[in-house]
Amino acid sequence: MSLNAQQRTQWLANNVLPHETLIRARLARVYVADLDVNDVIQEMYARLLSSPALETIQYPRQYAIQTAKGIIIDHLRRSRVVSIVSAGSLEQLNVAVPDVSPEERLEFRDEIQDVANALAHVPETYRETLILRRVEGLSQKETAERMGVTEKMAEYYLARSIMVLSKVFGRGGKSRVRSSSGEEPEATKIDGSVER
Amino acid sequence: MVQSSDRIETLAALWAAKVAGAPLTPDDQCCLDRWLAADIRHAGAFARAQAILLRMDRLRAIGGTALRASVPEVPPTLIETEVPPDVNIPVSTAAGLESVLPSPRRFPTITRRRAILAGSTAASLALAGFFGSGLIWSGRSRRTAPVDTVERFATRRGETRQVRLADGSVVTLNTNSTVSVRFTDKVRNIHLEHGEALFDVAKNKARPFVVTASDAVIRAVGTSFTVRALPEKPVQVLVREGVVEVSHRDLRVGKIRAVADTKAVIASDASIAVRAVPRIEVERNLAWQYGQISFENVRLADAAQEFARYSDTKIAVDPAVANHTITGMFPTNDPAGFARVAATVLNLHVEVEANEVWIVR
Repeated sequence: MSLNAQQRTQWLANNVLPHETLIRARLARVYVADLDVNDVIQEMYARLLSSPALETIQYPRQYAIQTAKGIIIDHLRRSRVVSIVSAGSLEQLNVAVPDVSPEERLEFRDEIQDVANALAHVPETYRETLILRRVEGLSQKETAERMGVTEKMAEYYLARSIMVLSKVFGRGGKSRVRSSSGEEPEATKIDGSVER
Repeated sequence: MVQSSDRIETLAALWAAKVAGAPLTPDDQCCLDRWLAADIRHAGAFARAQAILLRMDRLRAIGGTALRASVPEVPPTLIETEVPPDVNIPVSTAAGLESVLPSPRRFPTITRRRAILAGSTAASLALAGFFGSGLIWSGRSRRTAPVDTVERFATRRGETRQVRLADGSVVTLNTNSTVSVRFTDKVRNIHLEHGEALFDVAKNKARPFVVTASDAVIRAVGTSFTVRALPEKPVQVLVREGVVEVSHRDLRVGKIRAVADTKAVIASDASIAVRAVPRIEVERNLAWQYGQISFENVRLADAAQEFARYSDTKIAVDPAVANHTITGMFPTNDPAGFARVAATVLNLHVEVEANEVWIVR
């Protein structure tokens, strides 16, 4: 069974977004001139999104890092310019991510706390929009009415929330997953359960 | 036009909100599809923005009421960051929006972001640091003995060393190099026996600073230049600052002036050629001071030879790939690391043997 677009995005939300900080930390060790980590991250999401058998990926974090590494290598081959200050740093991306230990597995509760912490970075108006839309499940129209603004405005508030969260997720905000050892949580299914 | 990742992120957020808000009109859909197809990063950033919204759904377990009551205080790391002023909202999304908005040109983000961005440009920063004037050298400098004695300074393979001379001039020795220094009241004589050295010469018109190397004689007043005298190669003088006079030992008449950002090559037949060298290349040529080696479109075979100056681990290059060229900056003390990176970039392979690294097809 192959995933549809919505399921694929959900898979990214469950399995990649929570680990973005760590992925970025790994990428930051590779010093390549003219390479913007943000560009790599964006392309990484695109490649993952179109990965043929997303649902069979066991260790998404490692898979994501390898995907990013592929992007960097492609970049190097295209430009033929390497300014790797610490040569061999590409190998750093190969450091094996060991299997997950029970205490390292992200608890569901922790994960919710994690998302709640990310929400704390969002200014109040935008945050309220986000809560109405995503938590309480109101439509855009209902949200706009509740907040006394136009629908366009409600849409814009939501966009602003995403912009703030874009900065928070994976960039050292409180959204960071509490796994200090660099170990790999296993893939989470679409419904949020952990695959064994 | 190549868009910055920040701008792409902003556009992606606007599109994700629009898609989440209401069914797209055919015009919008078309506009979105076109945007997504324009750059692979667009599709990635859009997927990420949607994933962020989906991630928020986790909070349903808490519920809006509890969330509103319990959202922690915004941490003090929050700063105001300017939205790039050129951010344009996609045509359809922008309709009417810009006019409605109280120009929300600022939105909060976190300080750490800057640090992470800095990581991505670490290479260029590192280079800027390397080549900035504020070079910090860890010891290794010493004052030489008084006037009119001969002193020798040498480095082993892979070593660099900096020596402060009695007149305040500084000599930096590259790998496997030896100089002897003899100062008199009239002249400051330095002989580069072999290897490569950078001379930062203290100004003293009354007492010229003269470097000899093989057949070459280089005379300076106050300046900064390197002399390279490698076996079976002509002596090369690279001038970083000021002016030097270059001549052949046997032909004192034929003095040639070499100014900053030029390289003089003194052939054994006494001919001297001077050519201009771009500033950036001058600095690259001096990267060895910081334990780096720099190549620009250098043949693998030549790069391997250059590494041999610095390390006992030899790089051997399969003749079939010897003409591949490489550009980049590498630590002088890690030939194996260089071989691996070169192989990765050029789609070649590396085989490691005792004290030898092979680059093969």
